[in-house]
Amino acid sequence: MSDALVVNSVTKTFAGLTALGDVSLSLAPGEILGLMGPNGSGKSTLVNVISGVLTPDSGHVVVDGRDVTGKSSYTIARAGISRSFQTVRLFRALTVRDNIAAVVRGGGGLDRTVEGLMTRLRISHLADEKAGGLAYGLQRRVEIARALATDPRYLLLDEPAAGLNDVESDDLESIIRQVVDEFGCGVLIIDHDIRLITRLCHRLHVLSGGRTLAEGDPQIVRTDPEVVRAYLGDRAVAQLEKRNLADGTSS
Amino acid sequence: MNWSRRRLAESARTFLVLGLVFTIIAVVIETVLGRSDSRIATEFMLVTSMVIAIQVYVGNSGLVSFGHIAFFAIAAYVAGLAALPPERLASIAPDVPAWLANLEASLPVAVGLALVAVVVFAAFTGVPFARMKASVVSAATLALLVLVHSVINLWSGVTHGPLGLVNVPDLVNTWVVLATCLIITAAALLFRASPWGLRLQAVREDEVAAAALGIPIARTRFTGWMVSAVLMGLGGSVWALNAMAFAPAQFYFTDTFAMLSMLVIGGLGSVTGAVLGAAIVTVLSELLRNLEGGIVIGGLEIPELPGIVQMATAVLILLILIWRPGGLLGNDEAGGFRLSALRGRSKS
Repeated sequence: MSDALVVNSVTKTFAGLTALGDVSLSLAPGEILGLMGPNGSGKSTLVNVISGVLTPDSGHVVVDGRDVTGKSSYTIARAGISRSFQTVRLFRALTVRDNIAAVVRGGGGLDRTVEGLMTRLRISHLADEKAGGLAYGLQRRVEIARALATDPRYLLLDEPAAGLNDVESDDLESIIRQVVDEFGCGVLIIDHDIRLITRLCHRLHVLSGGRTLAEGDPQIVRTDPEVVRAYLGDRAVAQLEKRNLADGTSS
Repeated sequence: MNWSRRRLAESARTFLVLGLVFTIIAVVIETVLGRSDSRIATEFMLVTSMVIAIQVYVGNSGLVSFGHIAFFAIAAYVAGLAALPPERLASIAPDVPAWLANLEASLPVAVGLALVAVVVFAAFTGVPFARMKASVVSAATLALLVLVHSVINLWSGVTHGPLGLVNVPDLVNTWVVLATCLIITAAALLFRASPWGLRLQAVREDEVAAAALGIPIARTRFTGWMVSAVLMGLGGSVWALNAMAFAPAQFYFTDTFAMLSMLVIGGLGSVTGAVLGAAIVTVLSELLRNLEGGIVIGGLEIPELPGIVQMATAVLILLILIWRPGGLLGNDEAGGFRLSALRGRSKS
């Protein structure tokens, strides 16, 4: 099975602190994988390792059968990985159109022109605006349009819904769905919005303290006691157990 | 490789404006000005064109280069040595290789040789420079300036040492100067609008994001460095054949900072800004230069004020950095104003 983004036993430490310890996951084209975990659990570090911003201490990152571990961001981008950033990193002084045009690459015979992408992300009316001057939610959309312009096989979205209101968040959800349907790329999405994640993702991968806590069906965020504890603390676990008990007696 | 019609159109409009300005200056030189004033005016045009050449790298990449004066110096000396007749050259620079000494080159040959020298030198330095971290490049370019200045200053057998080259034939008339300005302006605007220019601007805005989205950082910076160096070489070689005499002292800190200050004042990200900055600093310098020697105004005697030109430039830079850190025009071009004005009106 070479058609996948595979992360194999990746470890990354910063000055003795283990940011990632033996983390493995895989993402297939057309799949939406949610990456969750409390703050400091290593989510962004993982995305940075995959995209070549950071080099792992050990382990491998393989894109469609090609080992890209330790390669430059540029090489990894050319291998088919594209991304957005937790802290939006647009080319601020450039217009929205130029942000996309600067990285655009044709491929697959799809309508992946600059104008086409702006239409899909509903930002055409902002084409001549400077990206740095846009509202936060719109900047996030420009970032996704820009990430798609590189014709990626796999798209890494680092908290794309952070700072968005509910309407914008719903909008984002439909945009991501549409992107996966049309372009067939695999999406790895980090977010804290449980509502968005459970609706959107096919699978979940939960990190805590740099280690894999759980993975599987999106419902694990509600049902797995370890995940609930990592996110919500012991009291929530007690409540969960009470509820499970109640469910058990009633059924 | 996607050329944007929109960006090309903006550059074309800007070229019309700047080209008109240069043409008007040239016509005024030919019809109105006397011999000494026209020397000042052609010098201004060529210095402006070199500020534009520096803008190609500094403006698009966001990296400050102190090294472009080194390209200027190399181009000036190669063009000067190529153009000087052998009998004059023998007395001031006996170690010049015979093929070059006996050349007594015409304008195109002298400029062509200068460009070859600059391209070789720029390629040689550009490869390591493009791979350096942004914070290190400026220091490295400063080293380049000091290095080239030292070589020119000390290699007396070829460069005539600190005395410099004299009696360089005047192969340049006003129209050649105008053509040089137009070529450099057009090339700078074309690069700005090109996919390579756009990618360099993207790297300027965010290097990490640019790399993660597949822009080759080093190659992109190298391209900007080479284009900029070639244009600097063109401006520098024509300048040399217009100036007729020059010495190593002219290719050092004073001129480096003068040209960079023009760029900072006008707006780093703008070719129009380079021209505007050059105009402001030149006019200010010419006005204040009279004060340096001390004058009498209405019975009031103003004493000598040496250094007033540099002082005034420094104050101007401070004011600009406080109120308009991006320079007067920032990233805006003359050809872009129509669009933004329309947009502003439709919004209100």
